[in-house]
Amino acid sequence: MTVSPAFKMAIRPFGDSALLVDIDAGSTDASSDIVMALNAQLSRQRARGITHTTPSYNSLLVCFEPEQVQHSALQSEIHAIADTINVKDIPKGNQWSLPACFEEPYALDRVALATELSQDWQSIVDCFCATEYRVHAVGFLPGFTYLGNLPDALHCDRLRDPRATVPTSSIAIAGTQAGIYPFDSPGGWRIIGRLPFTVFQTQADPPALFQANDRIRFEAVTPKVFEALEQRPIASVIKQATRR
Amino acid sequence: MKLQFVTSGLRTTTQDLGRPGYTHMGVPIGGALDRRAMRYANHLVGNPLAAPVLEVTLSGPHLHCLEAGRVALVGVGFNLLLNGEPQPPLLPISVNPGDELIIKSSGNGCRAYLSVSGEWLAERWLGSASALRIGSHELVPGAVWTRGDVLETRDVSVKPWPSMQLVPQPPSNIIRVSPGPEYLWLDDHGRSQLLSKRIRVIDPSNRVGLRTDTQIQLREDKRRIEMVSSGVQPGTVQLTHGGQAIILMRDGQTIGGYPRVLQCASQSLDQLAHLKVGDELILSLIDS
Repeated sequence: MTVSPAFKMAIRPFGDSALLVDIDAGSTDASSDIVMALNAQLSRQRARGITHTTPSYNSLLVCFEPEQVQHSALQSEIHAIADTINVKDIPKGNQWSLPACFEEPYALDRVALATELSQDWQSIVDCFCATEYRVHAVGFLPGFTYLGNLPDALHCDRLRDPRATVPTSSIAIAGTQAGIYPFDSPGGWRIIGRLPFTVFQTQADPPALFQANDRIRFEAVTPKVFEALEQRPIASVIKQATRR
Repeated sequence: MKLQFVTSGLRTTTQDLGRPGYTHMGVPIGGALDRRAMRYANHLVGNPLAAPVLEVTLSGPHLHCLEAGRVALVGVGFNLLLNGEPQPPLLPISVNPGDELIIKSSGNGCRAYLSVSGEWLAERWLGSASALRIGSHELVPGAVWTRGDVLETRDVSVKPWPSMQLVPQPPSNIIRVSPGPEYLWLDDHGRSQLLSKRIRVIDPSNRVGLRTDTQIQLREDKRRIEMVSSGVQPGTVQLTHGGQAIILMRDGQTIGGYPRVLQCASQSLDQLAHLKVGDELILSLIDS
């Protein structure tokens, strides 16, 4: 049985060669579902002139070749596709269970966060690992993974002064989100742990391990296990990060 | 043709039309910042217009010719010297083994493009030979040129030049823009500070983005809103919480959380390639 979900859609020109589609389906998860379904349908139907699309949370950026298609024609086409969307069009993501270490020296913000959230560190880690996260977007940097569903008890402020360098594969939280840093880069999110492998490799196909709509759970391991996993060839560690 | 780098210049990279189709995993499209200049340089030596070229930044390389071929330089504020002699601009130059080529800045240029005749034997990633630096990581190491490197192309029969007229764009610092998704978050005062007014490019500015010396406030009721991250493009003008307008360039982020107040016209994107720290530009709203 298929049901056409209810949602509001607004399409606006964004410069001379893009349209921005905003979706409101009531909740972030529901809106994200529609964005994914619409994106999948657009790529399946290979609408003429579209060069690429960028989904993120409740919006879809559709870029096109203005010599091949006009704003208005593409806008009508997107409306027509949206009218036919039903829940079976929502792509199923992969489910992952990832080993991660939430102890020193990987949990850079452990002390400050425990104070700020008025909880001992073990309860914070237990709470973080008890939740299944949804990948809402991959972007900003190649492979930066935005995770939603962070428990209320873990909501926290960004650092006032961002770190000059957040280590590669750090797991971070900020506001109502969690995220994974694919490269060492400056960053203001709070660092709670690290993965023993990299989530973006130029030679892998696809280079980004995770994609929007995947579900991720973290499994806490000791620094000793973490170090052992780090030494293993990436392929075998990623196998450990089971795809169900 | 074969060219060896005696010196590399400040940052000389391979660039083509980039890698569209991977923004959903955070990979920017990238490619030559001035695409018209890139195409024109290729046109001059008889290469396919989308072939890779060398993109020169601020100071150019010194090249030693090992195998004959043709090169052409397109860019504002740079001269091509062949064995010390300045060459006429916008013409293909024949180069022979033993010749020395220098791309010399006249002091006011930011970027120039050198085409090299023949089929490039270049490393490609996701379909593109373009260099991409993320923080301190080079994702396509072979596309970044350093002293001693040898650039090699395979000679191919030259097709007749296409009849299409490709004219390099005259330099201009007037950048045409249209309203971005959050344009209405600016009030009249904010608009008057951002539009039709000289603003200056400040450090750090690079292939990721151009920062400007602006301090612009959003409308009172929009100042405290935390936006949900949403798609951005090359040419998107974002306003940071501190009120600084940042123009995203071709290696910029794919999604962002700052208000997108303006979007540069595609035709103006190429002009941004030639703006360096200290230069001024004017954002001019397209009449609609």
